Amino acid sequence: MNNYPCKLFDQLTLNTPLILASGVSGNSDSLLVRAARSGAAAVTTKGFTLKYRKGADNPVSTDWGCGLITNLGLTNPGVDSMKYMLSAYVEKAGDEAVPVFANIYADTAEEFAELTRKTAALNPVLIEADLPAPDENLASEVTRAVCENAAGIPVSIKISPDCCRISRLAEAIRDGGASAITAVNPIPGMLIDAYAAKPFLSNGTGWISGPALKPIALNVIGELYQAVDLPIIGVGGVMSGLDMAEMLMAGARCVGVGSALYYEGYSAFSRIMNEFSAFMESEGYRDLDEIVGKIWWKS
Amino acid sequence: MSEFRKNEGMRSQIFTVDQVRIENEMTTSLIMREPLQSEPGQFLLLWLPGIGEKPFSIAGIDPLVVTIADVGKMTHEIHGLKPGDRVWVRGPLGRGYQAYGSEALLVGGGYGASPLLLLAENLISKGINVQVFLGARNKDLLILTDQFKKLPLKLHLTTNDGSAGLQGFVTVPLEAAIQELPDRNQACVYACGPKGMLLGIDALCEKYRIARQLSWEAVMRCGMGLCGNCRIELPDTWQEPADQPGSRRAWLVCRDGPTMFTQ
Repeated sequence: MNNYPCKLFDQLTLNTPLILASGVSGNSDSLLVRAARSGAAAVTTKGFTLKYRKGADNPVSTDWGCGLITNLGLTNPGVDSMKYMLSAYVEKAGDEAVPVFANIYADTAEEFAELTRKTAALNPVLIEADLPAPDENLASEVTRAVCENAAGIPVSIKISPDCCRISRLAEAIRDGGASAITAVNPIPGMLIDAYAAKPFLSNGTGWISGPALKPIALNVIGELYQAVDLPIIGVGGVMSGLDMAEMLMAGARCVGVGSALYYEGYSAFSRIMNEFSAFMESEGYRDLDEIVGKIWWKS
Repeated sequence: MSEFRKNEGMRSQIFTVDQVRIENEMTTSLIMREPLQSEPGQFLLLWLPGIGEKPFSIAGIDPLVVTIADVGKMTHEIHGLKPGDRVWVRGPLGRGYQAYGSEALLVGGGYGASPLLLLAENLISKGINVQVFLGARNKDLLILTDQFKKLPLKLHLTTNDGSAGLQGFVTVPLEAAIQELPDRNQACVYACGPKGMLLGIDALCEKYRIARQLSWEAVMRCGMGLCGNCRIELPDTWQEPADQPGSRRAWLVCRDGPTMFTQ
């Protein structure tokens, strides 16, 4: 079976274009190993912050029918603990280790600078910084702060889809020095239980992911692809090999899965990749260059 | 009336408290008006709006029975519920126990007795011979003994301080019962309780080459296999399935479990 190697940058080629997205199970070295052994070509950590965050009380998530809603409140032990997690991951994964993308979150550019310095010292292959709000000026400041402190490690800025000027945001990220853009973060949402007359999640609101997010992600990825010449890490509602092909055709260079692990468990990686390979073969595509951004090509 | 495709995912369903049964000083059972179809050993998430949501074992299904110890803020609120009050339930979730062989040895440590009541009823209805072993620190912490006594099974009680049943760990009468089994290949140990007890039972079953299904506890958050909070490492005696690489060292209690089967 062809794995379709995925060249993200000059210095980084993944075995396949299918990776573990941030937020799911990425708070444990042994779960990262499980994702790697299940077929993820790279694993992204859960979002780490400068200091420990306890996170939200239960309920923190549910399946509302067309997707998931989640708000764990950025539970994480703080960036200093990421060091132990990543070294344990490398040790436990052994020969089966795949590259690690370190996802980080801060509220301000200053905080991002310090967080990036600490993260870069752990030497992940990519630093993925979550943009706190989809604002061009903030994107510019945060991207510069992260890139200037990343010690040469490639940086991807992860954006939310609730932004009305995607192309301007993309240009600010490119001009700030980022090597890639990750799109998209889940979109804000709310679930209400009418009988309880209350929001279901303890924090009131949360983020919508899963199948409901896919068309929104495809739209944003398409806009990014047309606006800037940066590799796009596509994330949002990918459940099947065809979903993956669609996201690559919208312009993503590789594709992350998260919610699929709820719907199916870790076997989702191999099933999605098998379906994707079958699609590529049946349609006569030989490599990823023949489909990335294909819907925008003028033939 | 037009028909819409209902797609509610796993949203909470409302259950109404019918009776509150006091099990001991710290523990009560809520007996609901409505049933919940479930396999023994599965669990549910019980939500009190504005207060919180927690996982609980299912002690009965028709009607739904949930046995709850008063150990924290939310369980204290649950203990204040009266007949007619409503609770919100998601589930059943996770993998339950599977009937195996013709001799069943059920072992509950403390509140671990709760899912075994439904399991005992289920196995008896399938014609399986059932013995139940309940252990606790003292007699006040044993639960559901009166409910087990109503069923056609042999009940063994142990307490650490000897205030009820045999003094000592529950593994002592369990080992004696294993030694008396007519055919160990046709027997299975089903257990629920604290980690130390489960590891002891696993070692005992390994020694006698007997099948066992152990139900593990963990601090659960999302309940959906996403957050990773409830991951545990299973004992080396458990054979990792070929299609689940890496699962033995990162086993999700909410999703892969809560029950583990070692044959």
